[in-house]
Amino acid sequence: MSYYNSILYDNCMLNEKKQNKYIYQFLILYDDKCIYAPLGANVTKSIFCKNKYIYINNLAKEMIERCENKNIQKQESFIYPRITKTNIGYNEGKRKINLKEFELIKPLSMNLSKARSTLDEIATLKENWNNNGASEFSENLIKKCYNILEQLPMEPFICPTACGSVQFEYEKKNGEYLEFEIYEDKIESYLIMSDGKEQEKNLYKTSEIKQMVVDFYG
Amino acid sequence: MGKLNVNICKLQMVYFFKEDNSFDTVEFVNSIHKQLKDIFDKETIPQLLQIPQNITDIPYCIWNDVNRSLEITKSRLDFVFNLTSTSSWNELLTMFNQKIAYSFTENKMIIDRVGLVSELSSPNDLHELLKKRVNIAEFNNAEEANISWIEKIEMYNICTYIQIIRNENEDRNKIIFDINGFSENKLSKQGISGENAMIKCKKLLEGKIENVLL
Repeated sequence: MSYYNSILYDNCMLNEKKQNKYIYQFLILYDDKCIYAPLGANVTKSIFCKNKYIYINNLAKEMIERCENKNIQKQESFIYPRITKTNIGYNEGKRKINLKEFELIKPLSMNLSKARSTLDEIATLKENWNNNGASEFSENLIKKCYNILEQLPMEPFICPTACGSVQFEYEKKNGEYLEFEIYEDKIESYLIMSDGKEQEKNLYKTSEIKQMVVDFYG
Repeated sequence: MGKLNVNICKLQMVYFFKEDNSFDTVEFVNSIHKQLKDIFDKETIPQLLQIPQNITDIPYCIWNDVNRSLEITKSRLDFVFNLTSTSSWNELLTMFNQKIAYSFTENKMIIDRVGLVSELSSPNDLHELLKKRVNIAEFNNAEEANISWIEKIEMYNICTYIQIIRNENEDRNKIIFDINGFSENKLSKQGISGENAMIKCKKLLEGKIENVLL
């Protein structure tokens, strides 16, 4: 099974946002495919019928261009399904399309595609990857990072460090900052609170990391 | 036996609507938004999706932030939230129950069944602690173990599920209590509101924590 980035666009471009109501079109972008469901279209029925999705590449591409030209606000969405397999089918107009079966992601579970792909890249870094003597990263450390990542309620920004650790970072607009430096044998956390106070702590359990992230986004 | 240091880290509140109970879905979402907007991250809003009338199990409303998730289908409402280390699960559950129930009343919605699922974890070695309470030799010595059992108490099913994984790299030890009303004993026929039924689930959860863990 693969994971896909997904982005939800609102439908401001069609001017259908009704007063005091929140109506959105349903547009999902994946790495190489697009799914579009305009309000009231027959295609909507098929999309939301269980286990069926329809994508219309050309129309979706046009919609994306319109979104990007008008600089429509994008919302990262982590609730949309991951694709399990592809079938060939037909829509009501007897036009041949690809159907994609899906499964719903459970609530509070994250689409961690960016974080995972960053860890994949970090795993491939060789000795002296920063041209300043930094070591490559062991399989155990990468595996530990994956295990931790799977249990976090929010996708972190991930980067390698020159001292042999992998760093998970969170930052809020008000300046609060949370960081975990993950080594094979220890985890160090660093927190900057909204009043500027700093806190450093060694952690020993994934559950402690998870709780710190939950508390950070309180 | 000493008291265990076990915390509830996640709660899921579920309300099942009475079949054929028609209501205005958009008005209901508006009402829920007013009740819960101070709880969710202010940069998030509920998202409404066009769902065909005959589809009851795909959500038509989804509202998420990092620690909270609300999903509404034609047949049920699910509200899931993570608990911070300083929050009281009892107070939060009571508050959310009141707010959600207010929206039900405002939109004349009838609840026929409720469910409460709680996930617990421990900062200490849960495996060692549980060995004292679930003393089965094969279970205690296993690298991985899952055990669950269902009790029936006062027209509620209570499923206890314990997962132990003894691996230093994985910290997935947890206990789950799934409390839900009998589907055949509809609350509307008993004259019990969804709010009161959820309060009953809360009391049953308190009882489980005391009996299994204390």
